Amino acid sequence: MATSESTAQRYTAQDPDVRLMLQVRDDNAAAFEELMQRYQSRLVSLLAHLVGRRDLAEDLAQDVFLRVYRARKRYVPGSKFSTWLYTIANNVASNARRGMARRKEINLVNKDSGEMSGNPLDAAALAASGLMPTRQLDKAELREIVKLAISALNERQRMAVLLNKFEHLSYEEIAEVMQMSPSAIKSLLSRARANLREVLDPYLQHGAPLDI
Amino acid sequence: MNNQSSSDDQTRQLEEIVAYLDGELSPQESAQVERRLASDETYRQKLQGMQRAWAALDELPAATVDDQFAQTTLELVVKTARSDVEQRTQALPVQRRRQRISTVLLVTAAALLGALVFRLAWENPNRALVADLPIIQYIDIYSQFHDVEFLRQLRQHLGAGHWSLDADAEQPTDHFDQFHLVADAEKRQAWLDTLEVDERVTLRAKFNRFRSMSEAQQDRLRALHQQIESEPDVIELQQTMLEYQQWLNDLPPSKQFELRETPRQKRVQEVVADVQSVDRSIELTPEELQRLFRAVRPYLPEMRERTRGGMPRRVPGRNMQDRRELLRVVHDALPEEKREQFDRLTPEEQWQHSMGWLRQARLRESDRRRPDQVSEQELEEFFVEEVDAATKEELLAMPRDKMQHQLRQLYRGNLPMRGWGMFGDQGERERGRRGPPPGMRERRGPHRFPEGPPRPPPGERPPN
Repeated sequence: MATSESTAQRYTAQDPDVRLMLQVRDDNAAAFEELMQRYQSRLVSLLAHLVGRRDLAEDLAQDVFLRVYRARKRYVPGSKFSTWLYTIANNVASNARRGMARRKEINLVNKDSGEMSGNPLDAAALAASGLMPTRQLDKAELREIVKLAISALNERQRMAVLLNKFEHLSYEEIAEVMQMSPSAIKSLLSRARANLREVLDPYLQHGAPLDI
Repeated sequence: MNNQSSSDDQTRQLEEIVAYLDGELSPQESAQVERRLASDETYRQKLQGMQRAWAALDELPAATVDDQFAQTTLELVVKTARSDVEQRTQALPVQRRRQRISTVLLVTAAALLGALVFRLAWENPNRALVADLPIIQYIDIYSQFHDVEFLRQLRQHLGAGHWSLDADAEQPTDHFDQFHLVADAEKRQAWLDTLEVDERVTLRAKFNRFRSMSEAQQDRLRALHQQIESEPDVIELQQTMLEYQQWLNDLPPSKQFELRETPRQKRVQEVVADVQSVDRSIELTPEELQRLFRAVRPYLPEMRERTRGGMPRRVPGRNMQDRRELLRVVHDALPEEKREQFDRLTPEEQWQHSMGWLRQARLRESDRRRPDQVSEQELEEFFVEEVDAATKEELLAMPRDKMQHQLRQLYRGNLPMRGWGMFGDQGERERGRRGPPPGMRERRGPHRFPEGPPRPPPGERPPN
């Protein structure tokens, strides 16, 4: 979809990263490096949660930046820079997952097979572990439980949750990244959050010592 | 059929709760959700469960990557760019191809060179970065004023105190210590070595900003820094500059720009007026109010006994003693962070806050016991202890029923008082300087509380 001039002007005025990207378009290497510095950790985090492997996430993040650089001459500010970047990241991650599936590589993140795609035994063990009232909620343990809960979401739910929670994207922006409608994102996020609650809440409510 | 409809309802309800938590509902829809939350326990529990699970995601570890990643990526980009050029030009006739290859390689090499020069500047900071480090690190504030006299006048009007009461703000001493590390040519390198990745990114952005300035602008900032360093009151000037920076951080960029363009004298006046009008209110959570009320309650009957007897009366010695005692108890009952804010208030402001908190606590208690009822005694105490002289005068001129109604409204905080304070003349005196100058700012302050958090601003980093 063509971006109107007023839209481009609006995003250029509002988003400093868009202004940096316009400098990249003009072959400013320092601007490109600065954009990388701003987003590299966030991007690697996002991709690591998406694909489940830190090394692969770094490779994919490099691929994303490479695509940004290659696309620089065609860049028109039709949205926030982050939205554009995460759209590329989403495509790169999806391609990588498809490639891995074709090669039948082992993926630490669970395969998609429905609403709650994680290993049901893990999820049951997880829920049960939270029902023991005397258990102390250990930070490292909680982190593992949360990672497991996130990995149990299907790919689209996981992406929407990560963009919403950590990148603070609105439904409309997530919809743009994932090429879905905002109402579809609304349902996707509500199902994802219900799934997270189902797994985490018993643990959070009963796994910790009671606060008296 | 019924099952299907019930499942649809469940889905709608779920979407509504999630959209409410994400701030994606219209004000009307949000109000509906809030009404339902107040009356429907199951609905509230669902929402709380969602909130708990969502908050737990903060535990997910965030990745950080080092400079090596950026370097490898840059190298990859340059390599790919070169191979793209070669591929694209293979189809061209030999003559044109050679010409094109050489042009594009030149551009690519220039970009690469730019990146390498930049990297060299970073990796060998004894060059540009270290030389101008104080100006680069403090470029925001050095760009905001033109001469030393501005700082001196601010100091004269505002003194040495801490201007901002923002509990999140960096402590002035920490800020000042850091400034000295950066300003000291021998300690700069050690300071640079301690920077985290995020801090280096920020510094890098500032460095780029500095380099994008004209030579004349860069020289002006250098000269300003040197001038401050050479003044006899250098410490005071630097402290004031850092205070000014923290204060400016709370202003929107448009206002910062406006101030920068304002003539010195007028700018000083505006800053002084705004600093003096800062909202110094401290809010307590319901739990903190309850704790405070429990701590203070044993002292109240005795004090009430001493002040009872009809209309307000002031017995300076005894009341002052009571007041000090009460302030001490309040102080001890506050959580540590708010205790520090409380300590920074004047005794009058401390008293004012204490009375306000006790009233809120009593109101909550009375709402719990008898919704919509406030006892005559509570109203009387409120009138005596907390209503300022101007408001009292207005109330006393009203018919009794109207006065009671107005007083109840004041008690519940539904109406503002005429004067802000509760000390009669003091309230009158204070009134003149309350409230920010028109259009001055929406300040961040110590009274921000995490109830019903708004969406964080876009583009913020994920939690570490």
